[in-house]
Amino acid sequence: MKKIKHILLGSIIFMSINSTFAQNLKLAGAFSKSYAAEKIKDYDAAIKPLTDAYDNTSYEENLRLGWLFYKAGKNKESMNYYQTAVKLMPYSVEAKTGLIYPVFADNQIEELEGVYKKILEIDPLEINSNYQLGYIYYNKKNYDLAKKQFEKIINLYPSGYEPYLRDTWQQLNKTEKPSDKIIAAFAKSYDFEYKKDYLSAMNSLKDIYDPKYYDVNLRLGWLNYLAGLNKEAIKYYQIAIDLKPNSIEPRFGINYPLTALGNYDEISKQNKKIVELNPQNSYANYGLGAYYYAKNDYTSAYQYLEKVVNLYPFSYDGLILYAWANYKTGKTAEAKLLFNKVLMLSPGDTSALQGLALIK
Amino acid sequence: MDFGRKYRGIIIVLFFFTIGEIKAQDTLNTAFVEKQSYKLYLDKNWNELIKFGNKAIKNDFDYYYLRFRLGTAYFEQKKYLLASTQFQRALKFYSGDNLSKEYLYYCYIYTGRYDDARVLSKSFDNNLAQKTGTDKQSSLSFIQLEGGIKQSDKANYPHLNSHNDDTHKNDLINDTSIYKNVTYFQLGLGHYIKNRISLFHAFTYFSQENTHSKNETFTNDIQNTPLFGNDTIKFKSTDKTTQFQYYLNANIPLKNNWNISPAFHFIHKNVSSQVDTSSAIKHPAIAEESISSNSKTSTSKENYYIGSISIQKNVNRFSFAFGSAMLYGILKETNLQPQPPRMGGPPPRPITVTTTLPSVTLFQSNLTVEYSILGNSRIVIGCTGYINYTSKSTVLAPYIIAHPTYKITLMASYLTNSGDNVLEANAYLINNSTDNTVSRYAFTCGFQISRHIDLYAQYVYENKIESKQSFKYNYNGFFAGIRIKNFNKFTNPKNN
Repeated sequence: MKKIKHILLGSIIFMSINSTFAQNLKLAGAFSKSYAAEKIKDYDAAIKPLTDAYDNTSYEENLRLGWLFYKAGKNKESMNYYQTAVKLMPYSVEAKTGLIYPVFADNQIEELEGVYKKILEIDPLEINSNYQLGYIYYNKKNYDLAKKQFEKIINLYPSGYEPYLRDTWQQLNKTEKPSDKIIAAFAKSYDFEYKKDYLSAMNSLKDIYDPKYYDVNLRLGWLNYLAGLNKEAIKYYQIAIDLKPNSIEPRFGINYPLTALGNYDEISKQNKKIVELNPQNSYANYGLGAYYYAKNDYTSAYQYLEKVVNLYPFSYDGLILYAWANYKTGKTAEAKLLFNKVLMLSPGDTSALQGLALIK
Repeated sequence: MDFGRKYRGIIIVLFFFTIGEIKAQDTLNTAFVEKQSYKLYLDKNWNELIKFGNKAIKNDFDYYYLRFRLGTAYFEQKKYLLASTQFQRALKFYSGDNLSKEYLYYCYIYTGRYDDARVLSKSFDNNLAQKTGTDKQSSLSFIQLEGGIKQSDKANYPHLNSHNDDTHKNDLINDTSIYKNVTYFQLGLGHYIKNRISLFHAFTYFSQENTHSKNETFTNDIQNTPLFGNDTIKFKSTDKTTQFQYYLNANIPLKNNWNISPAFHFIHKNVSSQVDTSSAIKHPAIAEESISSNSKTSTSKENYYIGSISIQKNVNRFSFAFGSAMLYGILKETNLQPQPPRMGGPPPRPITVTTTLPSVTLFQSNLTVEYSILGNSRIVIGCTGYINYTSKSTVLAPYIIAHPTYKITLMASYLTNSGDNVLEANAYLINNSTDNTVSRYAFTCGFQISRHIDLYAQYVYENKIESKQSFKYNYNGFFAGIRIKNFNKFTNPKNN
């Protein structure tokens, strides 16, 4: 009896996979046509093949239709498709991020606030949502709530993430502005950086250099990297890391010179720390997934890539590598589905076709 | 598909920002080191790259790409030992790099570090494993059969009185020893356990027959002893030695070019002796010769247990090995001892008496320093020094190994010994003869006749000293062997 149950269950799974596979093939053709039409900005033509082959259970199709309707200026329809995609993949940040476009275009601020909150339920440290939500509160003069959102960003990016937020943060906290000397030195260094004169940009910070000043070390790390002085860049970024060990900003920074030197093991250490501080960080998770994949540790790679694909189910880099990780860990049926999804995203993709050929 | 390589491209794209043209500088900085080393690498200017790369490393510029380029430069110049160090360092920065792994793998192969190559191959992905042929590695490494003979240069060693005391100063002693040929066979087997530990088993059979004859004529010149005149004693002993040995050696490559190699050697030696003695005694009083003869057989069984360990470290062109070995031997002698006559009965049978002789112990240490002149295995010189703590003596054994071509191996070695014999080559070579080797010259030639078969031959010239009478004699040894290897799809470009 138990055996029969297993056989029946196996058959159902097999049939379901095959049926999904056939559906994927059909959709792949529709996607291909839609990309060709989008390229020439003919959004109605891009929408048509997808609506002809519409399957309301396809996350990918709803996501794409959400985008195309937004591009065609049809925000209501766009919202509907995005919302269906959100329902199909409730843990996806990608569909919710897409939904922001038509909601914002339709000026539905209350709805927008709700979308950001939903994203933060999945990833409480998601930078863009904290940033936008912070400014929604700020504009409503709800400074305490704004401060709460901004604080999450500042903890991860102590330099202030970007100049506008840096000023807002100083204003909200009533902290003293840096001295004129510091502001002038930084301004000068930005000018030189713009002119690609990185050595002068570094020199302009010489007089204000303080080994305990996070911002100047972070900036020198960046400028040294731009000048090709990777060893020196690492030194400054490391000082910044030591000064703010719970931030991810200098860790992403140090990964630039480390990549230039090819020291990938050290990059993986930094990425692990980033994931520790910001568990849903898709860049760091992807970096670790790719690192372990390259090391043939497919099980570890799978764990990190799964996180990325859960957040962004229809984004190329995560999806293709996740498909390969599935294949390498023996999950052939799943790999087949994923490779087909890649073909929807990138018709004729060589890597996906190679993967499918191996499975056959 | 080699997705690993693709990934490298992806992360480089993700993180690597194109940097602008940077002017070459006299003083080293990262940008200049990177630019210059990359240029030399692209130009395949290996000599300059080696000079520049080493200078940069000395100045504390150390990163993946520099090490990789430097490794490639050494590899292209066939300096595989030096290249291996660079690729190992490159892998410390980027442990998943298949290209460095592949280079390092061949560095190990070309320098004879097969065990290290095996361990490294465990980290290969499918593509690289298929490419290098390590995906289907047999756990059997090789089978070897060797044999040989040792001939003494002179069969006889007659000499006169060795008694120096006053009592026997006029005695005539004609002492003759005959050393017959030594025959020797060995069956060896090498295999791997999980590609991590290599084991070598060797079963050895050794046999030799020695005869020792002695005629002694005593002149009785001691005053106040009128009873005896000239006495003659004839003595002949024949010893037949057979020896069985089992040797087991494990080689375990560790991280950072360390290698540990424990070994065990068991020897069972069986010596059967036949001693025939006859004496003719002149009795002056009755002018009559009294003749008596006696025959005695005995067997001695000796079991030796040897434990040894060697720890090796490779540093660029150098290789250092420190080892210690301990031997413990249990010797048992069985004699047929005659019994006193009994009145009225048949002559009593001799009884077997087994005597356990004092055990033998030996404790020694050794240090080997090896240097590769060309940074590969083309010409390697080395020397092993032994300290025998038991006999407080030393042994020095310099050697040179050359590979004029990849298929030919030549080796010459010399050994000089100030005392008792030592256990050589991590207790693989045991000289448990009671006669010490004073010096030894050995010449070995190996030839790879096919991918699967190696032939080798060795000539050994030994200067020995006899243990009891301290006379010198020599051995000429001729050995030959065949090794059958490569039971897998192992790919070695130099074999093809």
